[in-house]
Amino acid sequence: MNVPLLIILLSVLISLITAVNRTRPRASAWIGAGGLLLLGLFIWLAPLEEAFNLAGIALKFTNQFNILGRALVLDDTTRGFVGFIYAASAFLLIAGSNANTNRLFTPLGVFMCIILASALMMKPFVYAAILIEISAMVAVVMLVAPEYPARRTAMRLIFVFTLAMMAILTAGWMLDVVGVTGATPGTARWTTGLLAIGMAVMLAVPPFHYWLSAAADESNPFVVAAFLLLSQTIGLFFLLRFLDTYEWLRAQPEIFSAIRTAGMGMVWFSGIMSLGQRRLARIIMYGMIADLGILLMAVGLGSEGGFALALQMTAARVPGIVLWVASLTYLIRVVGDDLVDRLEGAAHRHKYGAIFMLIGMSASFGFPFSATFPSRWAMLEPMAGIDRFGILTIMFGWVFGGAILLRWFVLLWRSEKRDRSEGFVIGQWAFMIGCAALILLLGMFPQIVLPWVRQVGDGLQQILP
Amino acid sequence: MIEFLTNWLEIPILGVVAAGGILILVHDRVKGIAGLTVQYGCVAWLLTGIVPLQVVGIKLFAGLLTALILFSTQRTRASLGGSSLAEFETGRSFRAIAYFLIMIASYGIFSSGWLSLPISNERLLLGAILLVGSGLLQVGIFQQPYSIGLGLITLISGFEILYTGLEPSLAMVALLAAVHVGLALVISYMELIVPPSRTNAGEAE
Repeated sequence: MNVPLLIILLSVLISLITAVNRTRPRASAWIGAGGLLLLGLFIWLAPLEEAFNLAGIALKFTNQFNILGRALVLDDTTRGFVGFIYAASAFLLIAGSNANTNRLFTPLGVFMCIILASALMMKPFVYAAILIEISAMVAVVMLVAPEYPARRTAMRLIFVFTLAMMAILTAGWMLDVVGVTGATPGTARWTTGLLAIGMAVMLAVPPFHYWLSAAADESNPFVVAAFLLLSQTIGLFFLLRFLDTYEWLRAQPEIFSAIRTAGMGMVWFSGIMSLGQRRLARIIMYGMIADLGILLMAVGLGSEGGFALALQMTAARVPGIVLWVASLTYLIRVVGDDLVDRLEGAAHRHKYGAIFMLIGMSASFGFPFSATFPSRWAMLEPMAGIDRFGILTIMFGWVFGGAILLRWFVLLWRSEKRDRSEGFVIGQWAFMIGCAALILLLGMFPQIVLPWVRQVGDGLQQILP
Repeated sequence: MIEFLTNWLEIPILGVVAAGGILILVHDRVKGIAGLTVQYGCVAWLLTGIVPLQVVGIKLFAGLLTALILFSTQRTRASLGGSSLAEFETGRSFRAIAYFLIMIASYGIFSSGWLSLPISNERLLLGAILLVGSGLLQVGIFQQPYSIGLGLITLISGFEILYTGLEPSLAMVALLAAVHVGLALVISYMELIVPPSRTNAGEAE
């Protein structure tokens, strides 16, 4: 039985079922999330390339599917990544069902998951760039709706992803045909530059984040955050695979310093840009950029520990961001917009929405007892030996995060607009409490994600031996 | 037949320039789509020298499908009361001068040999650079999704010529064809999901 083909076919089936049920968004989301979660578990646990008996039937899961001269391979390198994308997508679908998304969110979310999984399984993986471009097109359909006519966002998004596609494909050609080694520094520099452009688009490194400001203004913040989260995650996985696969890339002395500098730049840029924002959705987007900046700083340590921390943070950041943005969509439903003026005093109308939003915010800023705190804390020591400015940047992230948290705490509870108080329904309560508990759990016991990090590490033998 | 096509690559190059002119200067959307169809024909012609005719056929089919999707969208939009004229934010003379300058600059890049890629036929490179230049201009000066979308399609067509010259694999052909059709679907979705009256109001802001 061919596992990549099986995964794709089952995912398409789930997508079709959710499309049929799109008029019942909750049911559709639960079906989609349940299906993706089961597939994610299958991807993680399936015995690949080993014969086994199931109810007396001899079976063997093969891990390669050939199509048009290219291969989709689910091996040690990719199964951890693909499984994570499935699990994260399931989580996002559940959250999305409560976040005022359009009816196509769930079926297209599942479809996007298939595309991203195929991109991760594609060999040689530089050709996945076209699939990433197609995922941006799917995102456009999720972002643009009659109530969110985000046409500016859509075109910006497609334009930057088209640039990324061209850059990565050209780099792929240089790697495959021209041949890049440590002995060809000129070609290596060109290839690195092209790969950097492609990565920067996926990771939303400024200035390639410019579609985000329009998106935050015009679109449903949850959909924007969901796509950004998946795009950044895929970008990071690609970056780690590039580093693992190409020895000449790792051998360039300035590469890790450049990654670290980009990460630090993202933190400072986002912190400063957040200051003048009047829309909370924009602050969330900048928060996500800063969060990824810290993650890139971990990669930029260039050590085994740094890569492991980056992977740990990749998993740990999900519940915080989802809780933050999902709570914001509840508040928007109550007050009508995410502008400062509208959200002023919103806590009096939706107390728990505001509380959960602040919990999500503090988790995204990596405060103590939250999911990303242990990794940030663990970064301080190795960073001290490499780049003292890195320590200052991590501290700056906390200070800025604290200032933003305090500002919004005061603002949300400021004036009393007690015309009508609203609460959650049971499903929303369960989701919010679940998210908050997960944040706390990952903050207290960060080792929970270590088995996944180890599984991914099995496939990244060069950087995570 | 193939010999004739490969010996007269100047014709599709002129066709690319003419099609770009239509896309940038003409307001009528249907004429714009006709220009895009001509452009796809020229791209297919340019590729005859480097890939088998079957592959060229796939590319041409994908291009025609893209044009058909855009045309049917335009018809649907017209039936909903939407204008059949593309709205440009700049005057025609400005666009004409900009297009002329871009074409000159593209030819300059080609003749300087700065972009030295291992492509068997130099005229192919010229066609690709002209398309990329035209596409970038459209993306740069237009604000409407429809016009930007056509610009992106033009840009990708230029890149596709270059890339097919470098890597003529079937998987790439299929995936790049999917990008063209996908872009057409996205443009159509955006044209139809926001009612024409609201579209115009939104763009006037």
